[in-house]
This record gives sequence, structure tokens and C-alpha cells, in this order.
Amino acid sequence: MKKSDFLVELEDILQREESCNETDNLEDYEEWDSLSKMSIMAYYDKKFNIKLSLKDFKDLVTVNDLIALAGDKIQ
Amino acid sequence: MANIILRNVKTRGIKTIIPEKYIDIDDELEFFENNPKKIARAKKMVGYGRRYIANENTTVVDLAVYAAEELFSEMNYNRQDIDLLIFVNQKPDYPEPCDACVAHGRLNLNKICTSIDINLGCSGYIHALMTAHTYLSTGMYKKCLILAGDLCGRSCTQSDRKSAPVFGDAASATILEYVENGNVAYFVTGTDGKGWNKIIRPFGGMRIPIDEKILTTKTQNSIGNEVPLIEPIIKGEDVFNFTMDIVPKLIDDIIEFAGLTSGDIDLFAIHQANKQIVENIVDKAQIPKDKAPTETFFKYANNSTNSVVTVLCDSLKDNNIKKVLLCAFGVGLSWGAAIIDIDGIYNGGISSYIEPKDKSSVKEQIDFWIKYIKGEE
Repeated sequence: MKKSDFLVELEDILQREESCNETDNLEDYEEWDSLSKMSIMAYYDKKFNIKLSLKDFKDLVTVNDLIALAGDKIQ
Repeated sequence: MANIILRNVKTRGIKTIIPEKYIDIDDELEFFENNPKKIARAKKMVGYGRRYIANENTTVVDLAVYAAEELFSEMNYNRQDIDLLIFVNQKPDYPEPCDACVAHGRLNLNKICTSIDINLGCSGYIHALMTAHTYLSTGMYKKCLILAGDLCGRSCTQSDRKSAPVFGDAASATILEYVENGNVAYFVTGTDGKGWNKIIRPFGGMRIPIDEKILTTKTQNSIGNEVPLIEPIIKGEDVFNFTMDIVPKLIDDIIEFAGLTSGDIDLFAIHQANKQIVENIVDKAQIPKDKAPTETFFKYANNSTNSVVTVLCDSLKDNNIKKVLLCAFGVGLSWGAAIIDIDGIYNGGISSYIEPKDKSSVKEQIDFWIKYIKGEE
């Protein structure tokens, strides 16, 4: 998946009304809560067959860090 | 996983009963910072809607016995013919005796009836169904009543936003009979006991009996809600990953085991853990979306043990459904799937419990038991 496509998808995953950018700090998102993290887990599992755990979210700072969790599945 | 074929059993009737009282997520603005947009977001993401909650005076046995009475009456069924009663529940009326014996007495069933409990939650109905089929298929038992339910809704503190919006209460009655036409049912079940602590209420059993400290202590859960220690603990992310590891494959396995394709199944009754989880299962297992209801969660929430029965009772009306795949998973960790033919089944649907006017309060019951101990009752 292209990075630009994922950024559009991310708006829907988080149910966010504003656009998402690679360098955005996740903690600045009002929507960055437990519901969003579960939705990210569901999305990564469904789309990329990647299993995430809450530990994976602990060190995330930016959207780019989140993208990196998908490895080469998002380019 | 255990793969089992059992013959000569037919499911004759089902009925689900829900408590009278309910909570709508739209009425819980205070938990969403008084922001309706946040409620709309949660509804879209997880599917939150209405959940029915039993009052402190109502138990699974009350709801399930009510369901059985209604079902007997609606089907004009002779209860004296029932020779097997299976009660599946994780919130029993008493530490002892088992719910099946209490229900047997309240329903005035025949003394020749074997009555047993199964202590399982979300996957419990599949195990009860498999147990009923196992007994009946021998031909030694002829008529079985399954009573199923849970009170996860009543058990949650409403300020626990991890669990409270997810769970609602319900119980059901199912009647099955031995038949001689060779009717075939398929079951696949499994357990991962290494995950025993992923969904748990640690206090109140013999391991850690409840004392005053446990009753009065509160702590913060992982999303910052202050919750009592007696609250159920759910490791959501672990349970989600377990579900996605096991359940889509479970569905594939049972369809293959039965020599069918997903096109042969008329209805997929999947445990309504929440909308997001059911939709992920449907996608991963490549099930036709129109045959796998997800809206039952919005209408009744996660009914734990009764969840798949709630789906059946909610979906069978006005539909010509013959072959059903039931699939449930959760606390244990435990899972199961069944493929059964339900053509000709009586569906009593979902009705509301009406509390008897003369029902004793909890305080009155405590006073009764004190007299009972004294030998005055």
C-alpha cells in the first residue's frame, strides 16, 4: 500500500475529521485513544496480516512510527 | 481441536429473554465528555448501541426459567418428557447447588431428568449444544432442555468504559430431541488454557475469597477509569489477537469438516463480541456479509454465553433458514463451532422479562437464610 493511501485510510480508522500527515505527533490527535489503538490492530491484522500488541504502541511518537510497524507493507 | 460428528438430534425450539431495563449509549454523554461526536465515533468504530441490564434482584436462572416457561407454553410442550437439563452460565445463583438443579426444581421437571451445569462463558452455548447432541445421539436420552445465559452487563460498573458499554444480559431456553432420521450435526471445539487469565474475575472463588478489603478497594484500569477490584478484567488486545488467530480458521475448518462450502450455509451466527471483531472475522474468513449479522451487537450488545442464541432468535424470523453455522469464543480461552440443520425449528424470538410482583429483595433473602440457619424456616 502506498503511504499516501494509508494516510487517507488512517483518517477513517481513527474517525478523524482532519487529514493525517506522516510527521504528525500521535499524542496531538484527540482521537488517539484506546478505541483507535484497537482499530489500528484490527486494520493491520485484516489488511497486512500483522498482529500488534499494546507494547507496539508504547514507543510510537509520529504517524511515521505507526507506518513503520507495517514494515514493507506500506511504502 | 476436537472434530465431532453426531447424528439423530434435532433442535426443536429456542427463545431468548432479556431484562426490562436498558441503557442506550446515546444517553451516556457524561462518559464522552458531553460531546455527541465522540459517541457517534464510538458507535461507528465499535458498534455500541443498546444493552439490557438485569437489576440486582434478577439472575440468569430467573431469566432462563422464564424463557423455558414461555417456550413450553408457546410450543405446548410437555415438560415431563425432558430427561436431560444442561445449564450453561458463569454467574450462578449460588456457589452450590448448581443452577441446573435449582432450575429443575423451579420448572417442576421430572425426577428422572439428569441435570448438569457447564461453567463457560462466550463459547459455552456451543459446548452445551455439543454435550446435548452427545447424550441424545446415543438414543438413551430423548429430550433435552438447554438453559444458557450470563450477567456480564449486571456485573460491570458503569464507570468501567472498557467493559460496561460492551456487555448486555440475556438468557435462553433451547429444546432438542432424539430423532431417528439420521440428522447430522458437526462440532469443532478447542481450548487454550494458557490464556486462562486473559478474561477473568479473580476474586470470589475458593482461591481468593471476597473480603472487605477486596470489596472496598478501587484501582485504575488501563484506560484510567477508577474501577472496583471485583470488576471483570479483560486483556482486550490479547483477546483480539487470540480471536483473529483462532476464529477465521475455526470457521474454515468446520465448513471443510462438514464437506460444505460457505455458500451452503444459510446463516452464520457469530458471537457478537463487538461489531469490529465480528466484521474482522467475516472479512478474514471470507463469509458472505449478508449471511453474517453484525447488528445484533448494536441491538443487544455482547450477551456472552447467550450471544449466538440472541443472533439466532433475532435472525430467524420471516427467514427460511435451514443450515446454520454457530461460532463462539472467549473466556477460558475457549472456542467452538457447530453446523446444525434447524429447519422446522420454533423460534420464540426475544421477549422481555417481567419481574414477579412478589419477588424477594436481596435483603429479604438474607433475612430468610438467617432464619433458615436458625431452623425457623
